[in-house]
Amino acid sequence: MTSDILHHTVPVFDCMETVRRLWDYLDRELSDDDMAAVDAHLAACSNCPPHFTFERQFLAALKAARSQDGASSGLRARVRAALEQGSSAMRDAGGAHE
Amino acid sequence: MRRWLFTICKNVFLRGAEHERDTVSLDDDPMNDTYAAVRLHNAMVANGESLLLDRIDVAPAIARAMQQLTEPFRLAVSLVDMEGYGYVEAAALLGVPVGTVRSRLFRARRQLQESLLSHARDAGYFGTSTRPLGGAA
Repeated sequence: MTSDILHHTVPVFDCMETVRRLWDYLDRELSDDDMAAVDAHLAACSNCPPHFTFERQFLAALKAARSQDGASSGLRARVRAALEQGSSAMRDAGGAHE
Repeated sequence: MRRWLFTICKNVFLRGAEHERDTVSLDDDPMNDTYAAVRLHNAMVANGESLLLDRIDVAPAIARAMQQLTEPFRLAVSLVDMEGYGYVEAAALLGVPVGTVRSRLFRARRQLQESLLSHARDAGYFGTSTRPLGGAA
């Protein structure tokens, strides 16, 4: 137990450091240690969780609105075209697998 | 399939955009928009507007707000928030550094929230409110 603590220490974040990582945390773009540190702070703090809850709800609403966003369907076609171009280039270069 | 596409995106990004990583100016610091989003939420709580997303018809309001974004910001939101791409994938698809995706994404989210709140206020969901958007610390 003690050796675990010595070998691996999760950072400790205050409110400012936690809020600073709000979007990265909700997007799951943080390192495992930083995710754990934000989780730990949110479990102990009464000020920060409402912000994270609201922003999580906002992101869920954005995702749910995807089907009604006309720009998104056009974007999907463009992304597909870009990816097809990219995959062709990769195949030509002999670098695409899987 | 998705993993393969991600590998392509990652390779494209690593080859073409890594050297641009340090070119994002301080004006584009995504942290400013992160803190601004929190200030906006604080203001909404103070004004009794924290139930914004429960009060309005969210999907059409978001669709309208999306149209108000400029193309680079709309693309960032569409790719990450609507299509589910990660920052690195979106950066590769857009041909920009990851930092640029983050700054565009965070700025776009703030603008979307401000648009939604303005829409709700204009539609009378919260009665009259005089506190400016994002004005509370």
